[in-house]
Amino acid sequence: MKQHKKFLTRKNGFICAFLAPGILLFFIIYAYPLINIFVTSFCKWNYKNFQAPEFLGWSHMFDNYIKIFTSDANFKMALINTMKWVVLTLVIQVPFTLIVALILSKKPRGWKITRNVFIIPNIISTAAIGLIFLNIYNPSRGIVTEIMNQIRPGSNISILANEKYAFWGVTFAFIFFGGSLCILLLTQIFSIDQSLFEAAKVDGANAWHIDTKIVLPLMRPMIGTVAVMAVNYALLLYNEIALITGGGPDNATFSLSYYIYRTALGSTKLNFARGNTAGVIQFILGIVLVGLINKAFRTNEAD
Amino acid sequence: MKMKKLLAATLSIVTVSSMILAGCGKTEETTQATDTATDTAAETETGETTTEEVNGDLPTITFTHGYYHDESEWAAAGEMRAIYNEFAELHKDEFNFVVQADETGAEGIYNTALNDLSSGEFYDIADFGGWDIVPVASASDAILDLKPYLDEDAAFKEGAGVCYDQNLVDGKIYSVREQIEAVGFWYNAALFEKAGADTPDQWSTWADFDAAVDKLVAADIMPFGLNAGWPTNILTAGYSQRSSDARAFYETGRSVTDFDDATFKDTLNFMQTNVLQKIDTANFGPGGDDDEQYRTDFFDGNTAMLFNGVWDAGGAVDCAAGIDNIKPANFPTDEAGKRAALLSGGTGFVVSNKLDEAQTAACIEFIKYMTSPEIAARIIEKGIGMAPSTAVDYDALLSKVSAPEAKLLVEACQLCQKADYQALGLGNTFGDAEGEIQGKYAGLMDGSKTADDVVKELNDFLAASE
Repeated sequence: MKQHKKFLTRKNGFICAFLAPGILLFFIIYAYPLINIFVTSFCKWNYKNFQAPEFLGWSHMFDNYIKIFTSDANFKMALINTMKWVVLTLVIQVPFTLIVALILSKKPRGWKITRNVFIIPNIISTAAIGLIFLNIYNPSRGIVTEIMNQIRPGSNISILANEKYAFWGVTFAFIFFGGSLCILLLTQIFSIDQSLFEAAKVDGANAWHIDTKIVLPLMRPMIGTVAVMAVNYALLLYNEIALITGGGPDNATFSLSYYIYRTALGSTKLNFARGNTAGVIQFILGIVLVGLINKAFRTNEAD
Repeated sequence: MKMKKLLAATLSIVTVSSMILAGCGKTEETTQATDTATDTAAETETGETTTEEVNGDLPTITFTHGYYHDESEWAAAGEMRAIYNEFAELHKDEFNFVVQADETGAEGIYNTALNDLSSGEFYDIADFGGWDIVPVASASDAILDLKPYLDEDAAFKEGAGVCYDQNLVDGKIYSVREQIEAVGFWYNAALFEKAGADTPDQWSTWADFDAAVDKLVAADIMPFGLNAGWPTNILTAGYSQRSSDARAFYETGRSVTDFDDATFKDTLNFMQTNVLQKIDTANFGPGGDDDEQYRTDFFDGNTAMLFNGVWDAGGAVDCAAGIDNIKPANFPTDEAGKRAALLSGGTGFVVSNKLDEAQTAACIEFIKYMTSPEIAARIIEKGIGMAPSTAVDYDALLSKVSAPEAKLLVEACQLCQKADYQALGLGNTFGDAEGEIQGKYAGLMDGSKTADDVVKELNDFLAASE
């Protein structure tokens, strides 16, 4: 018993020694800026007092939060859009990627090529993706415009210049690109013990039964992880917005990240305090969403 | 015991590895430094001043600019570097003028300045190429007021041209530029002739613009390509110069507190019905840096007008529309025969206020040199852009240049300089609100917004950004 306790102490020391550099780096690289963002969200900090943020005072400390929620239409638009993208990744990207992974796991003819093709958009830069989609949506020669004109002659829809369609224009520029997530899911499927499938087949289970009764339940933690990754991408969406629409038209495609950039650095007023306020909200949203997804998929529980 | 040994060994390996890796990093840095030194040495052959050449007895000033491009990529960059180096050479016995090209361009210089300002530092002198560092740098008390130097030297003030008035804020001028954004528009004379429409040089008022647009549309010729950004902003700014009332509101610019102004609403109504709703959706792009379809359409001969600056004379070279058909124009007004153009100085040379007297004098000497009539003429003649100097003899320049695109540039600059009313561009006037205004064009075009809606939304933006 005593020896076991000693072993556990040694084991814990061993773990701590390895964790220490990582934790130290985390505090230097992540925790300090995070604390800084949090503190300055209660300050006045723009081009007028660039070198020294000023605390708003105890009675006004939430002014930045009140302002962005009550009178900043761009923030509200950014928050709503970001939440829509979060939901869309959960209801479109994750299920779509899961279906692709399930199909590929059956190793149909050409599955390796399909898998490699599916991952291409994830390994080329978002800058290139942005330019590709700019051309696809081009109002005078883009393929989408041509297709729309075939369906509705003379409709001449300019996807990215129209408030109603621009949101979807940006959404389709990333929502189906789940190649990296698909690889994770495939790896998980391939790691399932083959004897389970064989036993199920002996019991007369068909492919549908195997997928729904064996594969999906066993993949639950990985699906949760994939959902966290997808939601995180949607929550931090920036490149696609900056490259395809610049937040327009009429700020209809603002995301939280893009709002933060525009408010803090993309404006002559350099309103860092308000940008950081949005950053705090984005951080809290991220924590809440990850917590909810982990709870829903019980990713921390062993089967 | 075995575990302890293993732990100690692992930690030792990790520590040693980290030190080795750190050492490797250092080596790389040194390599980079060596590379930079080599580059600098190479540039020395073309006359670039380097730190190696610095004379320790003389005051030293480092000038940072964004013309880093290879001449094959952008000939103007080579010419600008030559101009800087000639100045350094000319004054090498008086001070060390170290010229540094920042390969991140003007935007990078701006971002570096922001970082430096946060630690209380600033460039000796830098060319910000239109990136507006002045509000933050002046609020941080980091930059020099150039007004006293401009006021004591009439030639210097003449060289600064429109920059003097445009950059005068609270009685101070923190920046002067050797080039300005001169904007009128371009038209395809052949398409106007085909439509039987009066060409812009014949227009007397904006009513003539409307008549010409209607004739072009009737002849099945697209009058212009636009987008939710730059070209449409030009037309908005151009139309805003039509009357004294409209100009008065426009001049309130960055200090505007209420967009509910009759002339501004008229401008929005004009943009909606006389401009945006005259073109197809296919000729209205989303805007953004990469959206230049409106230019392509014009130079391909598919649209009759292009709203862009004088620098687009270069776009006429070998274009399908034919360089002989491309002509420059400035804007009409509602005052018969009076013309308007957009001339934006913006932020250019900015000098630190922490320099000593000799260094400051050297910086002022450099700005005087850059805004002198000789350099102004060279900037225009070489096709780099338009200079603010009011002392440039454009007729003499016209007879001096021979290339068709150079002639077009000189003609366009001359038209802008001759305009009865010269105003700042929309961005320089309204600051952050420019982005909001351009965001409304799509709604105005498809009719989902009225001028009143736009005014209300813009006022909401102003309230939120306070």
